Parts: sequence; structure tokens; C-alpha cells
Amino acid sequence: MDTSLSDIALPPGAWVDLVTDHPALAGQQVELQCHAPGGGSILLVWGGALPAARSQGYRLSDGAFETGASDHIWVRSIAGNGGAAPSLSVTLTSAVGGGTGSGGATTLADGASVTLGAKVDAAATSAAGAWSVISLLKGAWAKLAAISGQLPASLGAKTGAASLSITPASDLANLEPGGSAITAAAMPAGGLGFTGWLSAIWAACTAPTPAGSNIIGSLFAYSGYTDSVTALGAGASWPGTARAMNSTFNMYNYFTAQSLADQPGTLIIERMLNGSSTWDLLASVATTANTLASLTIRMTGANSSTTSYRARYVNGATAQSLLRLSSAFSVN
Amino acid sequence: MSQPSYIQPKSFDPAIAHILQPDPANPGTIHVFQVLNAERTELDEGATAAAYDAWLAANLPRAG
Repeated sequence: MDTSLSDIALPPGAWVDLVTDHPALAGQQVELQCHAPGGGSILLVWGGALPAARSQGYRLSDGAFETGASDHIWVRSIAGNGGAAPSLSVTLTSAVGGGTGSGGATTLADGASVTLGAKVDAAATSAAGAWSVISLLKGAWAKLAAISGQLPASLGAKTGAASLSITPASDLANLEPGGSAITAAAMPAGGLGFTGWLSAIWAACTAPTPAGSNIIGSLFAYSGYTDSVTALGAGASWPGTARAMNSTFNMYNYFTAQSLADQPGTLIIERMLNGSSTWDLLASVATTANTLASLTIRMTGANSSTTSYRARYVNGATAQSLLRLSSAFSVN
Repeated sequence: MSQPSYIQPKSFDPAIAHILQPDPANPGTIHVFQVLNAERTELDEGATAAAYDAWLAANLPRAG
């Protein structure tokens, strides 16, 4: 509402409750001032449902004022000798609770309001319940203090112990600190934590294949032999060393024999089964002087030391000056 | 046909490479040349060739 009402006209001789026409005045601290330049006065009664029973009232003459607060403000105009009716101005000074003047601070006694509460009220412990405002403020302060106590004293990078600690979710056990190393796996020197393990894995993945006799993923596995570089006389033959099958050779599919001689002859592949000491001729080819000859056969027979293959070369009627006889097991 | 007669070293191992040389002066006779290493597991081809060449020089001189 407006903070002031000027020249409120009053019917002569009748009691009027200002709150009836101005409900916002109810309970408010107001200042009433009489304007009766032509004489007359205004009777004022604070409170009461029936002002007629309180016929006296407080008389306000021209310029006089009165301050108060009530749910009913009864006034009655008394005309002056000249017949002029006085009027009334009303100024709202402050809310109920007292005050010493227009616009001034107000004071509410401690505990005077059930809703606001008293300074000694205990802190609220839940959002429900009929807590006073002071209790709720105390409860909120306690919550904030508890949260604040969990925070680092200041912002910025700190050690884990000096930081706001967190714990991984219980269903993320693979993350540290729930993780653990596999049995007997030791962190390489210099490594630490996730970064250490990741760098160790990277190093292992990019390191060259260790030297040794193992073959890892070779598509062209091969085991070769130099059978002879000794020239043969006329009609002589060279049975090469028996190449026995065993588990080491189970990757191979073919046996190949090659010869190069300065005289014509015959290149042969022989096989012995079941350790019988009898060599069977599997393939042969007539060779031409100074021309490479090659024979390849698909291997069969038990994959054990009782099955052997060998290259054999038979010289022709002329003594050689050169012979190169070789053989090999191979995948392809 | 009669079986050939083999003249071979006492330490002969037929599973290891060797040289079979027919003797033209004695038909039906085949000389076996094979010198093994100390462990008798592999052919010592150098020693075998030396023994063979010595025999050839004495018995089958190369032409020219």
C-alpha cells in the first residue's frame, strides 16, 4: 500500500473503522494526524470491535498526531463551531513490532515470534518438523560446517593426503586400489603405477623377438643341408646323410634335392620307412653338365625318426671336377 | 646277378653320407668312403674327400 493517506474525509459524528476501508493498515504501525484548520477535532480509539462502547476516545485537535498499531482503528469526526469537518492523514511508519519512528529499525524481542524462534533454539536436524527459523539456520550452518571440514584448507595442487579424498565405486574393482598384479609378475625397474605397467607393456610389445632357436610365426620355415661338395669319380655315387623325421619337422611338407655338376649324372630322392634300412627311390632326374637340377616331393610316412629322406647323386661315366649336392625340408 | 662286394671302413654308418665308388679293376667290388667325426655322429667331408681323392689318384687317374 502507499505509505501515506492524505485528507481522509470522515462523516461527522459517526465512528469509522479505518481498517474497513484500508485493510492494509491492520496491525501496522501508523501515524494519524488531524487536520482541522476550521476548528473541530477527531476522536481516536485503538482496537475493539464495537467503538460505541468506548465513547470517549483520544481527542486529536488540528495538527495533533498519534502513533499506534491495531487491527481496528476507530475515528470519529467532531465538527468545529464554523461547521467545517476535520480530515485525517495516515502515514505508515513500519511493520508491527514496534519502532521509534518512520523508516527506523524495528526490534522484535527474542522469542517473541514462534516462527522466528529464539536464540537458544536447538539446531534443526531434519528438513521436516516444526522448526523455528533460527533452528533451521543453525541446522544449515552445522551442515555447511561439516562439508567445509571435508575440504582442503585452500585450493590448488596438493598431495593425496592433503586433498579431498575419493574412493572408486565398488563395482569398479579393476581400478586401483582394487587391482592387483598377476602372480609372479614384477614391475620392471623404474616403473610405478598405471604408467609404469603401461610403459612396461609397450616396451615388451615393441622389443625385438628374442634370439634363440624358437621360430615364431614363420610362413617359410626351412631346414637345409649341404650334402656334398666332393667331386665324384666315374660311376661313383653319393648317398647323402639320412634326414630323419621327428616332431621338430612336423611343420614341413616337402623335401627337395638339388645338384650342380660339371658332368652329367642322376639326381635322386630316396626314403626309408619304419627304420628298415632299405632305401626306396621316390624320384630321379637325369642331370646335364653345368646345369642346376632340382627334385621336390611331398613327404609322407610316419612323422617319427623311423622315416628318413635323403638326396643321392650318381655320377656318369666321366669323373667330375665339380659337384654341389644339397637338400632341404620346407613348408612350401 | 651276384651281389656286389662292399669294401667299407669299420666305423661305417649307412645313415650318414658316404661315397660308393665301383672298382673298375675288380668288377662287382664297391669301395665305401666315409670318415666320421670324433663323436661318430656326422660326416667329416674334408677327411672323406681326402681319402677318396687319394684312392682315385692311385686307382682311377683323371684324364688330362
